[in-house]
Amino acid sequence: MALWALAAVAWVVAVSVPWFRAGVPASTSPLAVGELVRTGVLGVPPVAGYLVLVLPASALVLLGIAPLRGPGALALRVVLWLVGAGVGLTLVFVLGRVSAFAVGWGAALVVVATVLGAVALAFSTVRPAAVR
Amino acid sequence: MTEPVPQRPDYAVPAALPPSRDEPPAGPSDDGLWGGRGRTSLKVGAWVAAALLALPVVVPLLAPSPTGAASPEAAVEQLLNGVADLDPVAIVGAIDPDETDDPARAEAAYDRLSGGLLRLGEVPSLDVTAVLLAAEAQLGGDVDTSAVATLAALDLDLDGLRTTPGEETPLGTRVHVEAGDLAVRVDPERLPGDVAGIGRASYTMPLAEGWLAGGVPLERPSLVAVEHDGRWYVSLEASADDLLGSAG
Repeated sequence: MALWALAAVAWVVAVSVPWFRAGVPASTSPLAVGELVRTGVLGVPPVAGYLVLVLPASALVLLGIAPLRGPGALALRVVLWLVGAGVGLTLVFVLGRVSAFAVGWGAALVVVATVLGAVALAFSTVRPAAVR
Repeated sequence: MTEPVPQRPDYAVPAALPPSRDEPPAGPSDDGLWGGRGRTSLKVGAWVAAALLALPVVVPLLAPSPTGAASPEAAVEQLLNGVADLDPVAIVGAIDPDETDDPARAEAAYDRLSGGLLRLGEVPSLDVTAVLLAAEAQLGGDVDTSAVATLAALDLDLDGLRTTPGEETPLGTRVHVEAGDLAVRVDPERLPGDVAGIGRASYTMPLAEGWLAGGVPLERPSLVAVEHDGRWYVSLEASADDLLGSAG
């Protein structure tokens, strides 16, 4: 539960800070870009601004279902973690190809969140001892 | 005579056996984190925590900050500071929405400005020029990973920016740039491998002087701001028309 909470915080903060530490995107965050798109610029449909929610939404649903047990919850947990990790790590990989120097805090937080989620996922497969 | 006592098997009493560790508890229990009320509280708490964490992400998207600026001067300063900060959100937010909605229109206006405005005086070194050309390639929509990486080697600082209050013209509100120095520094250690041969370099550009517009010395450089729905934006088209003459 605490691990899922930490992973969710890391994923939410990751979209609120710049993903580059130098160059053009170093002054802006994915959330700021989403907010700009929501105002309707560059001919992009404003609804596209909500795409920035993909990462935090998966992390927050994972946090919400953290206390749930059973195969259904576990399957949902695995799928959501795979979606978050897949999207986040793909973006980090693309940024890393641009310039390893440029990769900044947002990318680091995505990696941290993914690792925390993986550990939490591993713990969630352990059946708790019976209460008594 | 006593009657014989019937023989009965000696069964163990199941209730006396300790519960198996593999069996789940018989029913909801009020003790422990995973049973009864504790578990319900945990479920509610998890969703409440998730909802609270979602707020700082969802609220800005539901009610985004308005683009543009409160005054013509603020719009010009937002654009120039956005350029110095290499902040695409600030730059796009400061430009006339009619132009940003049509990238070809904005690009044509930018091309007119960059082609018609020339610098006098100190010529930047080839190293600075090479990096600035990479920057310009991005502004022209010709983005590639090398150009993005090259820009990561660039540090810009805008000091002492001062503008005059707006002056009404038929094109919009003209705002003069009275002072401001844009310092450009290149750090070769940040350059990608395929941009070789560029050394450490710097260049300072005084924004208020040293311009030629269409071959004629420009006494007071300016940009033109226009109003949309109570907010002010810099119009690249109107600025180009004002500085270089009408395109049509």
